[in-house]
Amino acid sequence: MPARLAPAMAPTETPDETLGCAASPGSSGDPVDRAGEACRPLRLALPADPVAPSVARHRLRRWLAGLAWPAVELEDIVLAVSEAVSNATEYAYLQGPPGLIDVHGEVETTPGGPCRIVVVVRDHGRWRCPPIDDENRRRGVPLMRACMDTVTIGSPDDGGEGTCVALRSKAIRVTGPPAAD
Amino acid sequence: MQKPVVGASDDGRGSVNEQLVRIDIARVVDGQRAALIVKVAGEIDVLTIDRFRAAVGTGFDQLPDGGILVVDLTDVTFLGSPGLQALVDATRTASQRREPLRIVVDATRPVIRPIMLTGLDDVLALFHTVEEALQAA
Repeated sequence: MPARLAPAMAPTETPDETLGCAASPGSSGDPVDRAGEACRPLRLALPADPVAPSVARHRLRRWLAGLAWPAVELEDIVLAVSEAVSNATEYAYLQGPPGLIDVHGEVETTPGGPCRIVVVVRDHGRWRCPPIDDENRRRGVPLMRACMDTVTIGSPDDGGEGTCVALRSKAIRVTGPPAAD
Repeated sequence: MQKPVVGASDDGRGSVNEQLVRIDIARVVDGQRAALIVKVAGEIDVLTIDRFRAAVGTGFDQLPDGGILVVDLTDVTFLGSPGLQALVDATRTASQRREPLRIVVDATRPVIRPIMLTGLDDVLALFHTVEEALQAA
């Protein structure tokens, strides 16, 4: 009988690059200024082809590492966004010309309170209905929901063509007092 | 930063595909049983899934009678739902052929996390190391 595996320890991770964020991870009690104006959102526009998920993962990992997002939560966000982008590459532009997949990421904060990441994956196509017995879809959407706090799938707010997937991460709490000026 | 590859150019997409995952198949004889080890390093997603499935298929084709097929995912850095589906399909094939398929994950989070989130740790035959996979009864 195969041994049942225990849950893994989270790997340690060193942010390799900050993307416009004001503060470095710092020492304990020294909060990252995730709400600072210098924290740029993530903005990607990817051609909808099979390379798109890997590009999205790479860019998203860098952006989240720049925010010093905790490693375990970071990987969950990357997994969920990869699934959403992957679905869009497979289904969004089957009828009609190839298009772009927009991936927009922002930090959602409350002063002194929890932080979340919100990533919206949006295509501009008209989805062909996925095959009923497509197990990837049946597994992919629950995987997204397990990784994130909420997943909302629907039509874009601007009334345009396409599908919008809003992924809101679990909250992390900002620790320590606000940095003194 | 590498630009995304657009369009149907095999060269462009092929080279990104080659960079994203490496798959090697090795034959070992461990004690009385022969085994084939399909070792995967890198990312298994929609781009690389065809190569992964093909490698597992080759593993089944080349497996000697009574042999064990081992899929070593210890160096996999990303596993999404296409990869999960491929592992489920391979497990089904193995069951139909009455040949064991053993999957090595070494508790590395990129691989074990999606497996556990989807409950597949009850479906897939998982092992911590290649040695354990070869030695299990």
